[in-house]
Amino acid sequence: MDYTDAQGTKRYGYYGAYTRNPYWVAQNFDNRAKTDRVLGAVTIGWKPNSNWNIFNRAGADITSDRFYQKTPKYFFQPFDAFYGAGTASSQNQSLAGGYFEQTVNTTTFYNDLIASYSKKLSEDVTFDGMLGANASATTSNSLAANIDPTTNGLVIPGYYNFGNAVSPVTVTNSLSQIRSVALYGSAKLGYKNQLFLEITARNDKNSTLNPYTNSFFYPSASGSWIFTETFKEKMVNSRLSYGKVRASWASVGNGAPNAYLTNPAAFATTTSSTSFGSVKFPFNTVPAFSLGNTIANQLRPARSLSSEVGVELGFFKDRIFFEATYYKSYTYDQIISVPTAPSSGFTSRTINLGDVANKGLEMALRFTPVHTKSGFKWDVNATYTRNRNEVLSLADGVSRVTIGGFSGMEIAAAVGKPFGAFYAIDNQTDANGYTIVDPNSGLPKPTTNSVYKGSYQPRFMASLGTNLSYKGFSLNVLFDTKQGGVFFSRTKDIMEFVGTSANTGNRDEQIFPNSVYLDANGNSVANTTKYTPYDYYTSVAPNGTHVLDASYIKLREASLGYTLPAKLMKKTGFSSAKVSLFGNNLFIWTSKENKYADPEVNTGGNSDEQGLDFSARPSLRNYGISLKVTF
Amino acid sequence: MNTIKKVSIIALLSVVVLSTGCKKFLDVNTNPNVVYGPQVSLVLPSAQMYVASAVGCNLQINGSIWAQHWTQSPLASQYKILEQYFPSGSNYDNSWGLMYSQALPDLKYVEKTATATNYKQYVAISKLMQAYMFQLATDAWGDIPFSEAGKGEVADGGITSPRYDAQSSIYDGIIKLITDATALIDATDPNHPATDDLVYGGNMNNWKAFANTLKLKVYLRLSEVDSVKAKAGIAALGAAPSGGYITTTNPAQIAFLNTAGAYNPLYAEIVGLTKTQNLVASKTAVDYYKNNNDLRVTKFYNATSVAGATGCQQGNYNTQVSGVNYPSDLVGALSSSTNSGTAPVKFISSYESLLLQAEAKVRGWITGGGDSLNYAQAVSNNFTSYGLLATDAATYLASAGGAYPSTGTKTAKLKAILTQKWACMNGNQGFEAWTEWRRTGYPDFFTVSTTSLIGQVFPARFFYPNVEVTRNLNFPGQKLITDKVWWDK
Repeated sequence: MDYTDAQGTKRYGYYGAYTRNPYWVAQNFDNRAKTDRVLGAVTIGWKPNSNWNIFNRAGADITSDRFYQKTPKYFFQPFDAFYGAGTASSQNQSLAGGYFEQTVNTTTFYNDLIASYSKKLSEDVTFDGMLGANASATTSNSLAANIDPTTNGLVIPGYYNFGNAVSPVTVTNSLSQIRSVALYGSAKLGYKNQLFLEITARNDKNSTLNPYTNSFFYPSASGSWIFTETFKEKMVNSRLSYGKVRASWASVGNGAPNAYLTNPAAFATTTSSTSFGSVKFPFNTVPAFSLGNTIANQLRPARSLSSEVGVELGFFKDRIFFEATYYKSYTYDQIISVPTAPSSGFTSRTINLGDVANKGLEMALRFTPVHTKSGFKWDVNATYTRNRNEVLSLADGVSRVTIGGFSGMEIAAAVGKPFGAFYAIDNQTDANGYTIVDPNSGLPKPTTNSVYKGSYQPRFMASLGTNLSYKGFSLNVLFDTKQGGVFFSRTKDIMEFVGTSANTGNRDEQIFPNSVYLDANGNSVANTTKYTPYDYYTSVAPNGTHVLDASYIKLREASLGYTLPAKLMKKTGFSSAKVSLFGNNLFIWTSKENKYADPEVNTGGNSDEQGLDFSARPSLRNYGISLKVTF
Repeated sequence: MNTIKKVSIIALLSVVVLSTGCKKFLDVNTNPNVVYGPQVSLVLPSAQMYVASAVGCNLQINGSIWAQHWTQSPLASQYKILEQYFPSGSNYDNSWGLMYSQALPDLKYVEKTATATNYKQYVAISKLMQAYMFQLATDAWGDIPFSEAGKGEVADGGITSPRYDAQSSIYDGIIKLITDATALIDATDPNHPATDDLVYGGNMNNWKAFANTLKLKVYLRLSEVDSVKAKAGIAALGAAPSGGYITTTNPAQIAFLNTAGAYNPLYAEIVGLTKTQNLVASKTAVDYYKNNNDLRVTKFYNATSVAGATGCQQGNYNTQVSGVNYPSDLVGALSSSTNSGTAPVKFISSYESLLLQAEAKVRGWITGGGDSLNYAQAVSNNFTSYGLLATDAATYLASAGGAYPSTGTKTAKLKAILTQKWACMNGNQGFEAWTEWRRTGYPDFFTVSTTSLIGQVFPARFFYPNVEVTRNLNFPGQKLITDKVWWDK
């Protein structure tokens, strides 16, 4: 390793002016998470007669998560003496080292008492009914200790123990409890296996909500008709082998995602932080507490209403099978924590967001063009989904609420726009789309307010797959695509900043493409002032220029498998065995402007914050050999 | 039928159990991890520290670079955007947040709670800290939320997008805060703070001097835009208001320790940046001290002699200068010395107080003269505050470069006072030095950063922070960095 020189002095700066050796970083910074989980349930049942089935199920889900984080204590000198030599050089990099450990124990206990009843009411009519009651309690307990590398430090390098701290170790603990109870029931009527009608109802009470509204009721109804069954006699020779129409309506309710969101802001011990440093209390033996940063609101349950109609059709003995669904849904009062202007005195608030509408069409087609007696089979399947999303109204009549992003790039819910709208400062443009520059520097001027740059909602999604099989061999290929929508790429931002992206290749002074400046009367005049790309990419390029078309086509998976003949298996004692070569996420074709990241990566995780590549790790291509044996 | 009865009874029972037992069962939504209603003595230090973190770090760095005390080191890159006069809005998220979402709610809590319990001295300190903080904010950004700020909680009106007030009305509001606070101050009130007051340890006489000095500073800021109001306000204070002005015995500052976690905020920031030395001496300031054979250059920077002191051309981070000096540990910015951790954060210094009085006297708003004496005392205080001797100050004051033009014109006197103020504030009050330069144009020898991206002009304000641009629905629109604030004429 070349991060120490011949004298054993640690050096930085080989890989970039300010960076430590990445191999050293990989070896010395350590971040681990461990999880143990135990699940269990006990069910006691009673069947008084053939119609009734009564049982009680009590269960537990117990999880223990542990996190360990090691930050090395180090002292690095610049590799180049130009940057100053010796242990007193101003450009030495050092850190005091730290260690963090956290244990989070989460337990959920639940109990369901369920009585179900089924009976043939007549020769043609069946009835299935169910009544249930549920109670659930989740407790999460966290204990963490921290030797912070900037406000504390390690005495002896490499010894990660809380006894090895320069100053008192910071210990934090927290407890969170969520409980709920529910009553639910359903009734289902069937007629001659061709007409079905089902209604369900459920009432929940949830501890996370305001007590006055914490009871919420949500029913649903659905019906279906297999008409090919009804007209069976008349359709014996029909090409249509299966036909079903269905319709449903459903309402769903939910409590808040976390406990205590309805609690007014309260106090906790103070840390006063600047961008990179902080001052901690007790400060010089003086203790202090500070008001929290989240505004509480009385919360109503989150609700959604959806209705859909659908059809399923099978032709030629289901060699062609087609399914289509048209749906409409409204989610309202979604409970969400939104970033808030600090001038309010707070930086976030938890609210019932507003009313968001979705409508769309889903279609699927399965088709078997070839199926020979010798066993050769070719299947094709395709799907298409088109969704239109619009924010209809927001809480308190506001026009826009931030739901994610970071300080210079906002992902928002904005009335009249799709949910997940990107707003950022961009380069100014004139009415003809030319970039407006500063006539002195030739550099683009930023807009004075953040502007709408599109949303993460795609125009449509589709997939196309095929499967060829012959005597134990099978070949599977699946493509899928998302077209439309945008995402923010910090990968582009940072590659431009450090000058490694292709568009920063030409660093000569040049005129910004398609640029104008505005004269005293506000008229556009063709720009002739050259700008310095270095200045543009290191300081000026606004976040709006990093919002990119998120369209892609992926070769999602491909596999070639062979299932061993059953005859052969008999002798071995196994019932089946399959060996296959597989690959996932094999190739991606992105939009022309996106040379930076897989638009599917997302820093926000599984939340409302989508389409955010905040220097996300590249997505992985997997391939390998798999062997499946069953007994 | 028998079974149906049995089932019904079970179902009924479970419903009864659930609905009666469930109220208690569900009543677990009170957060045990936080505390309500702490006594005000536990909250005041938080607010004071947040303000110190803002003025002592982000404002200090930005102010000192634009006041040309410091410049970006050619060997690093953290503050290049300031030399380019092209910082992004996110550069100001931290200082804005420290003031608005950290200090302000705590100050409001102290004010409200102390009013209810008749702890008047806490009310007074809270109002004075608010006045001081809002002046910092409006001097940096111009029009800002003031009358609707800090009212996000539902009980306070639920204002999540506060309106921006005109700077002129904010200045009126600041003056009212100081006047109201002064009326409350009573050194004999037993309910005064002690060690929880990080600035004065509960000495209310000192807070009275703070109030008077802050008021003088606030009114003087209006010298160019509303001299009538400024004159009337300062005349009402006079040469010796009740409680006096800040002197060398009671500068308003917070001391820090040579202990991680209790470091000066600027040094804590440097530690967080792995101790890279980003800030170096600016040639503008170094040359000024050298030309006047001013020993302070060896205290504000790590220079060992006046003649040997070396600075970088302002903004010229593309060219390495050999032997360049760094800001010293006395001002908290020498990365290689943990002694930097002990540098104080100065809210109002004694020499600042004296030079404010001198200026008011030269303008004739405080009558009776004495500007020359104030000037000499200020210089002497400044020298001794940084470990130099009173005799060093006397030598300097007797030299051509340091002498006060007692017989000169009003303009010459103002120039001497404000240039001296800038020279005194090096390293610990960079933001105020830059702000006074904006007001008066002194010192008159600043050079445009060689790496300016906006041409041959100086920045005249901070950008509004991105957290406001993107989240406040009443945000009035980003300004140009060259747009002057209201009092800057």
